[in-house]
Amino acid sequence: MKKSIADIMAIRESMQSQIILRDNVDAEKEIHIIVGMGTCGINAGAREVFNALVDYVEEHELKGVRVTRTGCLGDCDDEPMIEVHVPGKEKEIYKKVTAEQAVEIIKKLAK
Amino acid sequence: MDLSFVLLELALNSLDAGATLVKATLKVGRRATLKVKDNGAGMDRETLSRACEKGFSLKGSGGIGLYQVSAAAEEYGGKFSIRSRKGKGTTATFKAKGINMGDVAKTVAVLLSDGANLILKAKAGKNSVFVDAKRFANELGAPLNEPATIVAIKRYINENLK
Repeated sequence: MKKSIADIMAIRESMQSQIILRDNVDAEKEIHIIVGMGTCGINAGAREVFNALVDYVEEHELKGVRVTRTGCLGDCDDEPMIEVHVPGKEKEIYKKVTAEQAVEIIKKLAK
Repeated sequence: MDLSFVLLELALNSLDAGATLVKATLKVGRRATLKVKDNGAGMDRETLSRACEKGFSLKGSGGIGLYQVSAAAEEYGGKFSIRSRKGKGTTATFKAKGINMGDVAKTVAVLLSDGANLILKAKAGKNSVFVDAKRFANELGAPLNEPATIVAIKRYINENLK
């Protein structure tokens, strides 16, 4: 355990990003991206999409974007699907999303 | 299907059953064993007997996850079994021969995002990792499901479990 703690601390020190303390983020202004992670989604690549989004949030220190997962979003043939909730706007649903497309979506949102 | 996807399917079921702690043990070699133990809702006898049936689900969705896992165990000359008690949690064990490990770090990233604690012990040949996500998060001074925590844990796994 000691070794793994030392390893993780060394890795964290080598990372450039700051830790985002979400207590300071106004929840009403937060953009929420939800990835459908039922088996249908996973089989179609949802895990890769999810990881691309989390990596982007970390790398670019996006304070106002939260990425979570849910179960099947209902249209198994259209997975991977993501829902984007922007405060004050209608929910947007993207279908058959690749990891690359997910990054393009989050880039536009973060502007 | 590789072991990292089996881990994802099993541990997501744990989280969906309300688990606040998921303990996963993974040993990869010519023979592979993956055990996922949770403190979730558990299943009664009837539910357990149907858990791997194609199309059976308590989540109102496809009912293919555990069916796929048990089919993979069969395909790789192994065995998949579940022990569970209602109110006491569930332990699932997957054994197979010659199956690839896959990307464990990407699976862990998804699991951590729920904020539940994950303890993972994994060994592949001479390499091993020990993740106690809650303890890591405390040491890092950040929430467990914070992207910086998740990415640090991913890197730790990728550097130490090759």
